[in-house]
Amino acid sequence: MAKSKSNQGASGARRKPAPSLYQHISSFKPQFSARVDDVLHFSKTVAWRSEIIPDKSKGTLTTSLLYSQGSDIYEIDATLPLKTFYDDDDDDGGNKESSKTKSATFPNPEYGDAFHDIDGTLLRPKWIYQGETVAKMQYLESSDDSTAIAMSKNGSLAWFRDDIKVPVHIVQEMMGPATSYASMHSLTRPGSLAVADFDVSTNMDTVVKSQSNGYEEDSILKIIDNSDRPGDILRTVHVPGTTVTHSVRFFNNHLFASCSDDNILRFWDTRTADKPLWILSEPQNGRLTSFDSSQVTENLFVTGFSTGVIKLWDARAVQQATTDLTYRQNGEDPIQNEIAKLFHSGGDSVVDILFSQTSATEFVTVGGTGNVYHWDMEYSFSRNDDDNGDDVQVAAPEELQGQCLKFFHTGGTRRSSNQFGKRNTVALHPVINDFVGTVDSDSLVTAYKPFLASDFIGRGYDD
Amino acid sequence: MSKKVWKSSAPSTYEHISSLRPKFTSRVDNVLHQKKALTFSNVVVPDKKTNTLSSSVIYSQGSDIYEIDFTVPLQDTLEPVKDYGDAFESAEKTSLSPKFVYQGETVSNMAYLDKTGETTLLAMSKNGSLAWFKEGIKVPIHIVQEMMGPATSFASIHSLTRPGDLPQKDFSLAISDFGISSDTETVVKSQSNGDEEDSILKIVDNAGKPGDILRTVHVPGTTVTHTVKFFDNHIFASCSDDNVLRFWDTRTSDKPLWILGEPKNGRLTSFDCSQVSNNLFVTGFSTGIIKLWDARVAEAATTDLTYRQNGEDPIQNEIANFYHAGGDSVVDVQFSTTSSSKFLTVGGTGNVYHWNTDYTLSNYEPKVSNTAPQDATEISQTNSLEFLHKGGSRRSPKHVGRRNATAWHPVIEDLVGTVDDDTLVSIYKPYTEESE
Repeated sequence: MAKSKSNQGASGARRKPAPSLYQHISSFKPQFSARVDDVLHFSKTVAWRSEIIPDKSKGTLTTSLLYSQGSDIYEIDATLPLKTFYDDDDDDGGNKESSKTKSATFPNPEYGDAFHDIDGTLLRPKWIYQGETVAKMQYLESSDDSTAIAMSKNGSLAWFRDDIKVPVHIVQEMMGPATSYASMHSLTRPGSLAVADFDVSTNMDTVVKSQSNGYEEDSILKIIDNSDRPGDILRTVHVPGTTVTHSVRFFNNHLFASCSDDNILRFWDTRTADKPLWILSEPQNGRLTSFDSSQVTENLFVTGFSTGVIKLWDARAVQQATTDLTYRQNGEDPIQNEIAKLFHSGGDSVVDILFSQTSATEFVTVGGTGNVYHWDMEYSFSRNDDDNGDDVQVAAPEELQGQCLKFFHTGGTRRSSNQFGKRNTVALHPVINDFVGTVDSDSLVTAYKPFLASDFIGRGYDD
Repeated sequence: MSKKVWKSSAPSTYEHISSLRPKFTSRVDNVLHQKKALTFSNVVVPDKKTNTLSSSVIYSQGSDIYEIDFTVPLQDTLEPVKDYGDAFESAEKTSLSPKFVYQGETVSNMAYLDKTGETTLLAMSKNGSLAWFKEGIKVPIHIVQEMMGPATSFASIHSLTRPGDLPQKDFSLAISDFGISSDTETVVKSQSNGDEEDSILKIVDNAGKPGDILRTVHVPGTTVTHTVKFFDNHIFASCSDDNVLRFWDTRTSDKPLWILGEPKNGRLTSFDCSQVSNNLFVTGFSTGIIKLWDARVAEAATTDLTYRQNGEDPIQNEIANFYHAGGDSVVDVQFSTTSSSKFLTVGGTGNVYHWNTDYTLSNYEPKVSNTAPQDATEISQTNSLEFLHKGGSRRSPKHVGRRNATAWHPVIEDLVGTVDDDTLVSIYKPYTEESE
């Protein structure tokens, strides 16, 4: 690996355009059994199921994508060439066999046929959340009771189970006419107030969702059971002084953070009283639009801003800084510094962030243009490991950017002029490394795996 | 060591029984004055060659905590033994030195966590403080310290300075308990606040930052909350001196999910829930009554208005009830960690009663709501009381059964350990019909 790194260093001069060759890419425009009037009007989201079924005799690997359009949720099977994907499982081992297979796999300039099996068939909804618009889905891996949770645009939650078309549990939110005049507007013009989010704890026992209460200066978090009685609202927490809390993410079984429109990240424990454990304030760099936490390390998280700035943080360090009075007076704001700072070139705003579920150093960001950026922070970590202490060598922004931006996927939104990147339209596969599914506003579903030149070259030398 | 064969009508022949009166390296003035508690480690080492299992007893005396190794036969013996076994043979000759010390406190309750993990043992002192110990380090690595006595109020000064000499009621405020969630990530402890009508629960982290107090919950209208136990990762119940069991979720706000009031049958003294079934729990009363409950049914009854008006108390019926013969009060209840149908109760006399609920559960239909409880009858009593262990407290006249002095082994089936006031540590395995 040392060799491969020096090699990377040598090719550090490699600049934009970032590499964008695909190891695999397949696209698919679904056709539906029911007539869909204007597909552009519906909001769409995607999420992967985590099951993968290898078939040695056919040389394929099957997995499936959950795709929502308005109130309907479809399941789309993807069949992938086994040799492109399977060797990832022993990626870390770096054994010879796998590196040989890899070196034999050259980037494929053609579009793949992952969706070949279902091309031409008319899709029927697997689940329907009647009267709601699905805004986010999450697959529940190890739950017997339900298969997936879907959130609607107004913050309602529905639990679905395989083979049952309607939700098995519901947490219904009233928004619009039923509540207040202010939110009537938000219903007809679903803009700033109809932003909701949820996340599931690592052991799947607890769900936290965030939503606006429909008023100014009032956003709430609801802690909901997902073990004995899914859908039971355990507690409601008010987030003071915020109108919208747009993101909420768990770090482990209990610790979670919420991110609100006052550019403050608040860290909570599901078991504590109604006050945050500690906060992280981010007044600069524009509007804080998104954040995600790593499920691999429990400590790392990434924040994204409307100006295109991306910051990587260590939650332990952020918390310690809140009580560290070495370089400040009591009463002054704590000095909380990120591990690394990156940016989308051209000021492309950050609309969504997805931390890899297979690697502690990789994450994906989605730009306002619909472009998908793949980052690997290994370079940054290898420079500032814990031993360096205070003597942190901060890499020059350009260099860091060049080393960490691994791949760049140009969104299909180019085909229509006014489409923008949206939250929850890009999904990272929970098991297959680097495998991404996206959906465009015109319903084009794409699944791709980047071809990483640096990996390839590194492996060549390892042989 | 005395060798006696107890005579009794209830079955009380042993598959195995061993006793040890430990010797200590430091001089112990009057062993009777020190409070003792006992638990097992969950480490079990089988030895195929000698056909034995090795494990250890964790034994506390005052502020000192000792680990005593023992060895029991690997296979079940086919006949009841008449003689005491030699499980403590290796420990008999050596003098014990404390493995952990909780300086200045009296350990009243212990829970074994994990030998190799971040923390090995969690101990609670009489005033409700908690200490986490780690293998190889003699002093606590995390502490939740409670101030009681001089720092708080007059009432509790007594409980601090003269614990033994006063009648029971005067140190009734120094009662505390804790429970650990099934995933061991959360600890809940209960304690009196030192004032009348104020007992509190503290939810304490045991995962990311052990010892971090996450939340304090007041239990309204109670002076002492003597027992707290977890059902699963989140749901727990507390049992207070107002004879009410309150069911909580660690994640909800400061109100119980539902309650179970038990105004009759004397003082509610103890309760425990099964970690195997997640639904069964047992309550014990000062009158010797024992009740077996299904938590799902008791909860469903709180919203069931079939046989009552709204506003009336809910009709919550137990599955079955039993009693200690002779009105022997119930001081401790412990569900088996290996079987959902077995639990033991400790009587005020120090006797240990082993119960098997297979008989009553076979007559029980959870779907039918409002089934009348199976009252204690001759048949259910004889079918359920599986074994009776006469407490060693016979040797000294005025000693009574105590909480946390009896424990099930977490892994070895049916193995129970007890400690008497005079430091005699016993482990035994009942000889029952099923053993044959």
